[in-house]
Amino acid sequence: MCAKIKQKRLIISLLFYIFEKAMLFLSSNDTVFARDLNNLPDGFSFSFSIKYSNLSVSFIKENDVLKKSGDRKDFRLKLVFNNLCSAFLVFSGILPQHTAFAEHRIAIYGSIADALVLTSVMNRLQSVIFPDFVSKRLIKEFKPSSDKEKALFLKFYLYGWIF
Amino acid sequence: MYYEFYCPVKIISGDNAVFNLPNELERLRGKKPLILTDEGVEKAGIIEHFVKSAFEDANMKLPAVFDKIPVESSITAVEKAQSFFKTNDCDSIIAVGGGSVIDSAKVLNMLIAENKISPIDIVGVDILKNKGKPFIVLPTTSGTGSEATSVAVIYDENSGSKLAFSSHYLMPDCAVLDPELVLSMPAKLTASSGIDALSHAIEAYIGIQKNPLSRALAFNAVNIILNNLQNAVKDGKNKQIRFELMNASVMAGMAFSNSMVGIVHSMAHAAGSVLHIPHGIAVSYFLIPGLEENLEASKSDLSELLKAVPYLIETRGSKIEKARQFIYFIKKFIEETGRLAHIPASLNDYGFSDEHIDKIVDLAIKDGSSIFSKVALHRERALRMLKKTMKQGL
Repeated sequence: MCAKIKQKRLIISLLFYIFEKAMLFLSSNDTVFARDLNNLPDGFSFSFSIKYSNLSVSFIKENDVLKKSGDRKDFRLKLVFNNLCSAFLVFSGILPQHTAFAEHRIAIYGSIADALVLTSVMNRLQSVIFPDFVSKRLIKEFKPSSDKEKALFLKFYLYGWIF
Repeated sequence: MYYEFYCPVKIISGDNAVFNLPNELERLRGKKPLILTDEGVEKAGIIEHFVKSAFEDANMKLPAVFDKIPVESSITAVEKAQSFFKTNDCDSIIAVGGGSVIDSAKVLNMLIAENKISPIDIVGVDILKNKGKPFIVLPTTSGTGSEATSVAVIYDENSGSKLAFSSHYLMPDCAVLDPELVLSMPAKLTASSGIDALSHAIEAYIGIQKNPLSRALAFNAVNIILNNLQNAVKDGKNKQIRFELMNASVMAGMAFSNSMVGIVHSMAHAAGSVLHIPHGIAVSYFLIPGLEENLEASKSDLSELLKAVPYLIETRGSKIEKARQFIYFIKKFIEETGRLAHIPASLNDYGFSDEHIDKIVDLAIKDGSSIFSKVALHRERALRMLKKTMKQGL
């Protein structure tokens, strides 16, 4: 799958961009996402990056919503993909995040409990930003999108990803 | 299709295996080992009669012994052991004990390799960079499988939670399985640690990261445990049975080190932390509820495991029927084993009450093991498992 992708870095940069926008958008617009996020304390910072590349995306939770973390380096939790291919598989919705953990595709710098909270946050994100036929492969016990979730999907792709 | 399997641990198993200790240490270029153990093992005479004897037989200097590892290994204990290691100018580690001692030794070894002071500095998954000192383990229980796994768990007294470490570098270089070292295990510990090993094997067989190698090990471990555990509880001095169970435990350990465990262990870790229940006993309460929750998602794997049940006449039926039969057999097996070993019948015997429910559930859904299960561990499922435990204890 990955070997056929010639412009991996470009694609992953784009996926990271969408992922970042979706995290910021959902933290202020989705109560389910916000509830899961609240299992992390305020001031909690975390990053996703890829080994042997300078690609990364990072956040900090402030006043119950996510913000970009800026130039921060000292994250409470760092999830590091072991190569571009692994990151591509996860962010493109081909490989579930829990499978990526199980297959040692992601190193966790920090508490495993915090990483698990982030997994449930990511599951929620994937169930909103991917159509049902994709997210049902990614989430362990998938439930079809409700009308509210479909509305969120539309809102995100209409304007949420721009801001 | 993708899997990784890693187990570089040399296994030396059988009669008088402990006397190979000096050879193995020399092979690994260790000259001045630290023996890490606990007071129980020390008092049982295992260090004096076996480990020190092995060194005396080889005309080697007796190693330094640190026996202050508590029943539940902790950050403080590991930090003290690190200080002891440095003070005595040691260059290798020999862990003699159960899961707590072995896990402490793993973390100690990594602290030294990574040149860190506190275990908190190395918490995580696949983040360690350096191979540790020569490291040999001698298990004195048959159940944790820690002698062949790439994980370690120790208690953080400050946060009141358990810290998990996972890295290939945590694995020992050599595991010496001498049945003589487990002959003095009491019936209760024999039963609970055996059921812990059984659950390692079953969860490894049905988890999302199952693979052909881990399944082969797990299947055989299930078969050996079902064949031998109750006999070991009845006749703890039988070396042949102890030998079989030590092998099954290490096989289950190798399997789950590569496939990991699942929601049974998530619940057991959480209940164990809150109610201070010995790990093997906590696992025995949650194994059946966990398998029932996995019935639909894992019916194919569970039906295959029916073939590992000894003396079973060939059965017919659908996968789901066979999976149900397997769960039923394991339920009866756990009940009978618990009865033989006088293990308390349910969580209530450990002071469980309604006030503990939220804390157990909160901890369980944040426990790393659940990620490797085919079914998600959400609040509703955790509550359901907890309720079933009240009815389905040993």
